Amino acid sequence: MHFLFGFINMYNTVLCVIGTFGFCYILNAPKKKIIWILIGSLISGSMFEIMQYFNFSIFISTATASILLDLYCEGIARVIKTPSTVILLPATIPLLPGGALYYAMQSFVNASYNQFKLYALETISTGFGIAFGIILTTIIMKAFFNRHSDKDMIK
Amino acid sequence: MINNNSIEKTAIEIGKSMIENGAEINRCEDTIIRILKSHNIKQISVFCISSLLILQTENTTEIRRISSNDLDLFKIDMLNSKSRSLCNHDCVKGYDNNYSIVSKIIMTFLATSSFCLYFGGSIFDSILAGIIGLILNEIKISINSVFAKTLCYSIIGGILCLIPCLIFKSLSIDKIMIGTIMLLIPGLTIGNAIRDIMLSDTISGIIELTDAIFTAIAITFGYALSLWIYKYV
Repeated sequence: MHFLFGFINMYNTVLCVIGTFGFCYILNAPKKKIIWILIGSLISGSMFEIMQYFNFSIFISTATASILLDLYCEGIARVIKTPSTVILLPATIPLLPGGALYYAMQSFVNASYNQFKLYALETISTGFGIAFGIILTTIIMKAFFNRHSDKDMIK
Repeated sequence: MINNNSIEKTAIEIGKSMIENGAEINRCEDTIIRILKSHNIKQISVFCISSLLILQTENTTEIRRISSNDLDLFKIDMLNSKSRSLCNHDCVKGYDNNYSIVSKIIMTFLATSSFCLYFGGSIFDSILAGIIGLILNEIKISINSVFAKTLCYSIIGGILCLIPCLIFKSLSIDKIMIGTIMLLIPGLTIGNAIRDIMLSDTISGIIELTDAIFTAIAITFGYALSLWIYKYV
């Protein structure tokens, strides 16, 4: 058991899930789907912690977590018949670059521009990580499931 | 609603409220086309960006200006099931999604306080962040501009964080602020914007991307004000 869970920072992951639960009200998530949202945030939070444990960069960690989360969301959205955004939006919250954005701003105010560069880059790479995950999942879903949108069939 | 208006009006109203409540552009266009096709309407053209929605069919032309832009997952879900039942010619089933007052307070409190703990704050920091989150969530600012709205929220949030930290020097202002910043960050917008660009909705993607960048800048400006005060007081 310890072999499996030893590298997950349980404390952080649990906090992520609790925080996401709180955000379910702020985003007015449907009550019946909160449980799926929490599973999603468990996936993204724990995957991020695992990748950080193995010293991967912020971009790689966020991208991996985002890919897994998106695959889960696209899958579960088809099962419970809801837009994938409803699950994806709250479940991405553990990956958001709140800390990096704040520290970038703080070093900007304190005029320490080298630190500002570092933190700003971290913020941007987290954003790109999330986006990269979404892109890759969209491509995978389009390529393998070949789901033509009705837009292609108008003509 | 369905009996009084034509199906085009119903479809465009559904599309409009989907965008207003934070659905993606692609999903909105897809929904409108699906509804109309299921009612045997021909020659459909839909164009949608985050502030405008144009629909033309063989019968009519409808244009809607979209001004507000909030996030409401329940409404997206409702509209989705509504359009699904319209496509299948079923009756529309609805259910309400009211959270009780106790759960509202607890959940808003948890949202900011747990992220304050996550970024390394102490228990007192997280309690304070939770209370600030509660106050910030109750304040309703009705400005259409996303930038101005976020700027107002982050200035208020910054000042709310600043005051207790000036009184009690042992509190760590950075952790409290990070907790409350999480309320305002334009999370999925960047991802959605890039997805829209990749799915050849380039214009709406660029608009969303610009929105996200400017929201981040607004947060930075708003909180930087109180950080600057904290530095010199």
